[in-house]
Amino acid sequence: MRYINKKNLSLLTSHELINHPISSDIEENISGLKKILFNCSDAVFREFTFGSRGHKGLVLYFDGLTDRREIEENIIKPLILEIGMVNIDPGLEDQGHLFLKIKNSIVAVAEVKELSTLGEIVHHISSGDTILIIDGYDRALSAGTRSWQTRSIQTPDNEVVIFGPKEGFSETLRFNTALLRRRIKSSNFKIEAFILGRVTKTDVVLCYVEGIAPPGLVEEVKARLKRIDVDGILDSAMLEEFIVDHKNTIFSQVEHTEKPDRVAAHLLEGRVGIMVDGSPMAIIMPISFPQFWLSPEDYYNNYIPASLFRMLRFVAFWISLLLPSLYVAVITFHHEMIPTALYLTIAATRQGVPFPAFIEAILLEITFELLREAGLRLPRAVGPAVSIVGALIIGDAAVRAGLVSTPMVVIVAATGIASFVTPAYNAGIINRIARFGFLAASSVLGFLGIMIVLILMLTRMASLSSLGLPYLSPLAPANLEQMTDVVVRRPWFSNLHRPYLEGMQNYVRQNRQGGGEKH
Amino acid sequence: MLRLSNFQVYCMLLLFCAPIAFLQVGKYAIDLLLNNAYLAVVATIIPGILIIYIFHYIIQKSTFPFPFMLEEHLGPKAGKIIGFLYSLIFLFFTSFSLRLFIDFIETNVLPQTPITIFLGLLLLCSCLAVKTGLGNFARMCEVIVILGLSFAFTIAFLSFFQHPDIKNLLPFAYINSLESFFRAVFMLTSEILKLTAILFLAFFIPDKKASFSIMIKVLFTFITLISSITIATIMVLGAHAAKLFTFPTFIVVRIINIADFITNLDAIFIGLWVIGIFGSSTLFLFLFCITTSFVFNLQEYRFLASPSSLIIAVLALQMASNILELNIIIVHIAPVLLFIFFFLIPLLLFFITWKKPYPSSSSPLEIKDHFPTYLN
Amino acid sequence: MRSKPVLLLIPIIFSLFLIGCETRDINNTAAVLSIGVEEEKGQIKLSVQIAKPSAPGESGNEDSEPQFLVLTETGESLVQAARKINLTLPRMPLWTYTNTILVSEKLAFKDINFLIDTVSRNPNVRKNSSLVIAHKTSPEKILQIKPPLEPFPAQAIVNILDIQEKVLGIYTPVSLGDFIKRASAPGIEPLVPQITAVNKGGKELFMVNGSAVFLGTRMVGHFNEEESRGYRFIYPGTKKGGIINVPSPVNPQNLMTLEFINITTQAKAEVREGQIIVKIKVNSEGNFYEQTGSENLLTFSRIKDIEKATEAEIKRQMNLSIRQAQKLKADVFGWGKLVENDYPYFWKEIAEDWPEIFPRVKPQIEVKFKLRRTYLTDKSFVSTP
Repeated sequence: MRYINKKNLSLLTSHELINHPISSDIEENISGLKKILFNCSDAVFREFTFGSRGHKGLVLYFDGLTDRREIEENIIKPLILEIGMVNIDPGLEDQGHLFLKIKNSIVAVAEVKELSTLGEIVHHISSGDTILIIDGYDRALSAGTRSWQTRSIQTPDNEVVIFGPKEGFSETLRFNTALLRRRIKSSNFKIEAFILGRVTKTDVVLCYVEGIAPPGLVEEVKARLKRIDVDGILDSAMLEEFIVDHKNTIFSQVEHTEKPDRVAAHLLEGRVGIMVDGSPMAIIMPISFPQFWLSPEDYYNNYIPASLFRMLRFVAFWISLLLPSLYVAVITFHHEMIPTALYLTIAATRQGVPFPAFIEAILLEITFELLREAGLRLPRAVGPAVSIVGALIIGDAAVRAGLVSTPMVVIVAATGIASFVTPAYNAGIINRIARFGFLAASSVLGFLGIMIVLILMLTRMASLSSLGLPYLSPLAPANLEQMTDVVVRRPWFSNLHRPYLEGMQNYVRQNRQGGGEKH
Repeated sequence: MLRLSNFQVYCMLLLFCAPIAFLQVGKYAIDLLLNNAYLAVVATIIPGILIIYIFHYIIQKSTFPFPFMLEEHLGPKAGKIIGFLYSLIFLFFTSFSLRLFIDFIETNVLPQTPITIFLGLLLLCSCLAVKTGLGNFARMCEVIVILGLSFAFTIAFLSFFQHPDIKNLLPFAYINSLESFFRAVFMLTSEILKLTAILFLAFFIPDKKASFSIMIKVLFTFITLISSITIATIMVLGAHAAKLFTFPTFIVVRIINIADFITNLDAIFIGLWVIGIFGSSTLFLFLFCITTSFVFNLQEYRFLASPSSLIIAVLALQMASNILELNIIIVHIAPVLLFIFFFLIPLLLFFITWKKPYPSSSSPLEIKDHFPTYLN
Repeated sequence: MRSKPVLLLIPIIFSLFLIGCETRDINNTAAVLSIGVEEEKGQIKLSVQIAKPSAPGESGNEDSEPQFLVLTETGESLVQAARKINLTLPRMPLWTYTNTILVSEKLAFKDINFLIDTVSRNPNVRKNSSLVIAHKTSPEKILQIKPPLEPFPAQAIVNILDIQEKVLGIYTPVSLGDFIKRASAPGIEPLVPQITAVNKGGKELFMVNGSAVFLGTRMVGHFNEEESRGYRFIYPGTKKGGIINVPSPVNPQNLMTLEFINITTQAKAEVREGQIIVKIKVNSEGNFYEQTGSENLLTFSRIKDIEKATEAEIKRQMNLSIRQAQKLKADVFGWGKLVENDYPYFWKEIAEDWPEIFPRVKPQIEVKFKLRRTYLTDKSFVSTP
């Protein structure tokens, strides 16, 4: 019997071995695992004997993913040195008594699981667990000894806030869920785990607050997650394209954030969040376009300044979208809109500029985008040099050389600054792309062109939805109560209801009249 | 199943009636009545409410939305024939509103640009909107109406600060001839007749009884808008000068001057007006496509948008050879066509439905089996 | 399905670039600040004042070369003359910046109906530009004068008209829109300020001098300074600012100057037995500003006298104005409109003959003046040798 098994195992390929159950012969297991983990130089096989009868044991882990001290102190040391202190009835040994004893009384690790296939073993060691196999038992013990070098919890670089919490997610999923759990201390806060990616076996969690998030929405997201069959998931943003309703569009239908407080705020409004192990970004859905103007900070600040800032951001959004095209339209078509004195100034500065206004604007815009992109990618040490080159060469020398006019530089610079005001980075990208469309249209038909592009953009946006939520809500379909929380920041004392989501049953955010179910 | 909210229907109806009237109707009222043009605007409430009552009554007595109700009330053959006529009328009005807009742009903003470019671009926008479907277009209408209405009222408000002379409105309530008064009211009423679209839209709101209040709201918004811009025009320009200009509203916009710096807002005004015209002509295109698909028993209406846009383009170009011919269409032909198709035929339906009992099921959801499935 | 029309858009956009619609890049344009229209040998002579684009900070130098140039062209029609400018000018003129339109007196006396028709039809001419009559000189000459401080004569004329109305209170500026409004409406006629060239201290300057009275679009006569000021009192509405010289109630040889805070005029027409009476009520407030004599005027009892004297002076100027207007048969005060407002049916009968009836209209003038403040001193200065 044993012989056949052994022979069979050695014949199997590593692929077939994955689903093979653990054999009760430790040698077989070792050879099988070694075959599976062939060329995995970071796998550590520690074979040892313990107990009065000289039981053979194997400790297996990936170096670097585990806390080696914990393995030594709490697994190997007790087994080798302290086994004698545990009273084992010799008669029961073969019926699994020893195994149970080890599991229950010897291995001093908090999280212990029993495994039965080689595949499970491989998965667990990949996640940072330590495997203990004992000769004579067709099960293995997995001890949670995960510990690896990570980035500590830092302030996110891309979402800087003045008010409110400053922690950000890091690359370890467990820390991230912990950050959320610390904020929502409710048993209704669910963190459902999925494993996605045929090769990467990435942990993915779906977070929502039961009772607030519409059940239909949660089911739909789950179904869409389960439908994904891809070799690897490396970042949460990769999931976005698998999940969203409309794929061929520049309009982002989910929100990306690194801030746990922002995720928590969204979860409390009934949305769902998805986080992926190895990625500090959470994605939140469903999201509508006006949401991109909102900064989490608004809700921690006094509502009057927060509303003013929000309006400022609204203005900045339009500036960053339309300013260059408006300028081009005005100076090529609608001269009469410029006051006479300003006309004369612009005319004077444009004397001798060889390009038409449109080409001038495109050149400067592209240069600005280049600088911006270069600023992101360049090593830190070179960064300041690039900004100096950008400021001096583009700003000053180009004007002096008569290649561009000064007002155009001012316009492009103002547009650039305004584009950084948008709190959501992916909304900023929409503006950066659409701006060129507006520019081209305005150079051909002036304001009329701008309006036609605006109509096209509006048509597209009106036809989009994010998991069933119309993309322009609450502007369209109009909802007066929520619109007030988009244009201005509604004060907390009057913010009684959650934003509308299809299928949501629990709208009451604040109980002032004493009605409604509490969550 | 297409679902619309009450506000969406309100926006669509307003977009259907107001944009052309905003620029046009005030002028014709001033032409006829001089400084008392606003009286005709206000007087339009009476025929307006009458029309609204007729439409509301037809809606209550019908099971199916507009082109299908023709069949329901007039019998299959007559229904199809009249439906066909309606589809021609919708086609005509799509081209007409586009042509009106283009002539306006050509005379005032970009005189040298080929007319086909505007036509092509606007039709492209309309086609795209039709292809995305009525539900999505309703959402667009909301944004357009919120934007456009606030801008239109801002214009009216600002023009009250441009050296207006309230004495221009005097003599108060002096009507020189009743004939011109009734002609002005008829002109204005014919714009309100475009509310006929409710016969189609009312069947998609949660409760079709609400159609009455929606129409009343549209009527009053319309009256407020048109009368305020008419009053502003008379006050700023004076009735006799306003009579001189082709588009007095536009002249008023040009006179607006904010803090001596923001002047000559006409380009922005035109920009926003484009959106209004786009909305209005797209709705006509929708109605055309839906009516045509009804006439020919087609299972889908959206694909009709692109081929029909060619016909519309040709019709818009060939409709009138110059602005004076177009003026004849505006003053004499369009109101009569509107009167026949949007008033007399609904009136006929009204009398036919007079004796009929109320339909048992009020919501089209319950009669889903008989209902064309493509309306989503 | 949806992406196909979007793809169609790309060739359309690119074809638009090829068509190259009316792109008027700012480099190829020239701003016309002012136009002057006159008649020469049966043809229309048009002078246009074009701004030279200047680099910021260079303008305003007193002795430097003027910042503008004046081009003149004649043609059989106004538009022909305007288009003929481009026989010499290598840029596209932008007419939208025109803020003054100068018309020669000679042409105005003939009739400027054709001019008003053209400018009201033309979308490029703004209806809020000022209309001025060139008095005893040609518009071309006015446009060539380099005004003090202001780089452009066109702007200078507008500023002079505005500022004199506030501080001096003689002439009322008129925009093209106002002119169209008044010329097209029955029962009210336009009154346009006049400008003339003067030589002061060897320097050529222009000066506002009198107003031109129109009957419809035809000029029929002038108002001098006092009549123009009288018009300002008569025309209904509220006006702010302006001064008036009044003989001192103590010693009529001496004068005192009073500044108006505001002047509110209300007018109403009444028809009694076929006789039209216009009741004009002027309520004004003012401050004491100056006296040429040394008598102590500012005592409690004399304030009433000052007010009386001022009222009489205002009334005198108003009567001068009315007499001149009635002589010219030009109803610049809008009394016909007043009749129409209150008696529309009566007006319908007499509207045709209004220029004949207007001279017979009897005004009833009631003037109230209130002296409010005396600025920093509350007594007349008394010198003690």
